[in-house]
Amino acid sequence: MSMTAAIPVVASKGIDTNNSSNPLPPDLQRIADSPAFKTLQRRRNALALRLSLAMCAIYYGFVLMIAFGKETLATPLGGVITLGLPLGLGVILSAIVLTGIYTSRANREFDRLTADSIRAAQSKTA
Amino acid sequence: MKRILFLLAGLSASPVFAAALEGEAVKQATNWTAIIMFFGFVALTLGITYWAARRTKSRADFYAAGGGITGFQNGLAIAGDYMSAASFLGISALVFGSGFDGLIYSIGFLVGWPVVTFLVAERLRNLGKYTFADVASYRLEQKPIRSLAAMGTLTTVAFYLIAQMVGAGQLIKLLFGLDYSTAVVVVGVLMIVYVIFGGMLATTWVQIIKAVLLLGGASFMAWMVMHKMGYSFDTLFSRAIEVHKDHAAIMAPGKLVKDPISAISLGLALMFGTAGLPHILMRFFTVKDAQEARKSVFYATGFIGYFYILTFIIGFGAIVLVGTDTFYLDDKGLRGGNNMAAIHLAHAVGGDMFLGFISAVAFATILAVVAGLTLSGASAVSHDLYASVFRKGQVNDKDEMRVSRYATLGLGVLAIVLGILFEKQNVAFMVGLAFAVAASANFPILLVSIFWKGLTTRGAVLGGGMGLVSAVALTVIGPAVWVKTFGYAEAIFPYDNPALFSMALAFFGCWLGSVTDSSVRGRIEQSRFLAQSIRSETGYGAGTAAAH
Repeated sequence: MSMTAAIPVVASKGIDTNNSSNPLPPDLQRIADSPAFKTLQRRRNALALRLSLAMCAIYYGFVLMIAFGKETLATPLGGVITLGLPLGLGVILSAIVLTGIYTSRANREFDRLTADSIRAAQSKTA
Repeated sequence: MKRILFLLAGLSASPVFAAALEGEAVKQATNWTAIIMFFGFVALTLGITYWAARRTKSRADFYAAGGGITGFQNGLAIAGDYMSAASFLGISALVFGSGFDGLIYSIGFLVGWPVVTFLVAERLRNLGKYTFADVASYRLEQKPIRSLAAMGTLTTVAFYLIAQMVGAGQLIKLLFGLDYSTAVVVVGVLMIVYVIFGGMLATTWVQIIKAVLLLGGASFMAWMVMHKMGYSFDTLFSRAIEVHKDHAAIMAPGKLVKDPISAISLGLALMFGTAGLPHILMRFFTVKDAQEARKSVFYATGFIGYFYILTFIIGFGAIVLVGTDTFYLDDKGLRGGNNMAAIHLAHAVGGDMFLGFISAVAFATILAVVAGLTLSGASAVSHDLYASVFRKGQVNDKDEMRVSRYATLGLGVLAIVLGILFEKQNVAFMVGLAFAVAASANFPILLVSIFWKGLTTRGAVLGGGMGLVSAVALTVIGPAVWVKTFGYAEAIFPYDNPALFSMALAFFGCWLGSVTDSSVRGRIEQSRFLAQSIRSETGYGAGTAAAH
């Protein structure tokens, strides 16, 4: 695949200073107006935010437990294994699982919405 | 006699490591099995470099391997770029020394990856081409933003690289019985050769091979440990508690985490620093599109998480199998210091051959990390400073590649010289500082430019600048430098890691500089946000790095 030469990678200089009209190229405008793009934006941002907050809650919760609740983490679970161990392992696994949730949903849903949005750019009737 | 673990700690990530690890570097007898295996690795990687050199024709090849790396390959390469010798030796040493505490660190190094997946990877790939500055400067003014991003990159790379070089010299002296300066020169020269001739393609394959060797070797060790314990974690932990001097205390958090502020600040640096490390971000441009970028972080997260679980088993295995065997001990404790825990365990479970293999893997690990760092530093010089700022984008492939090769040579020589000069210095704070700068300068301008419409050039420069300066300044007046290096009794800034404060300053600066910006330029930049977000979300208009 080759670089799309028509679209510079970096925003170039000498842009239109008439910013009040904020002109969007017609193809981008069609994407912006397409239902697929709006759905994509809404769903992906909601998922990314929720998962990021979940990761932060899990990790910083664990860190705060270490800072404030050492004894709780040292509680034995029957044998020699303490509560801290499955919790720590749980943080590691949760990082992998949360990433997996995002990836699988993106593979199933967001890629399709992306393709639909791009199709909107190419259609004449938007 | 050097405090090797002090330095090795610096290899990985945290200044707090330094306090936790104790030991001295004793030059070991020359280890021939290891040297032969190491030469095998070097021969293989030089062969790959030769192959890659013939395929590296344009800057897209040089910076981004032509965009032809698959998600799975890139996942391995990211893991290879990120799992340093200290992740392996340092964390298993920490587990060997204090049990549970080792787990706390490995978790910190892992939790940044989900954040990279959710917020950064796909958008970065859609907006950029070779460096993260491409993304940060997408709708902002090139010159100031690229200069700032290049400073953030070079600061991160410089501190990380010095720590790696010093750690490499110490480690190789320990493992192979080579002289310190010889070791630093060998590492430096190999890394220069990989990058100058083979660019990103050679660097990627060095990282992939290293990741496979390291994951394979660590899996074998952990499996052998479990085999000897009858595949029972209860047996492993009971026997460890029995023989470890701290007994049951190794099953719970110890003294590593001091106060909540320090813990949170370090946690922020590790989590968001990962999402701002330029050599890691650069890896996302080597795949063909956002979909592959996303897959590659998922694979990387899996590999890295799995690896940290292995190091935990290896550390406990070393307590039981190495810590009780007088063959591995001397009057001061573990022969060669605690960082040798994993290395001795390799001998305990696999004999001389496997010991040689693991030593060679440790060396390969260093090479893969420093090659990635150098390439990313060189691209900041050639792509951001030379091509975009100095030549204002008017530059051909040939010139830009020539500059990036000179930059590689320059950085490599500088790394060798500094590695030798810093031999006896305390460099443990440097990786912590690299993560703090990445979290406080690189990550905020990247995140804010992608997600906040209101950001203007003025805001990005103010915020990024405040983050960069405060991260460095607070580290200097903090305990790691002010007390341990300068020798003052009391630190002016009480916390080891500045991220909590410097990140807050960076985001505040981005906001303040933007809302007080009433310039026409600022309004134009804000008006371009919609077009940017369409491209960042859909990849519409984004190409692959291939430019044939």
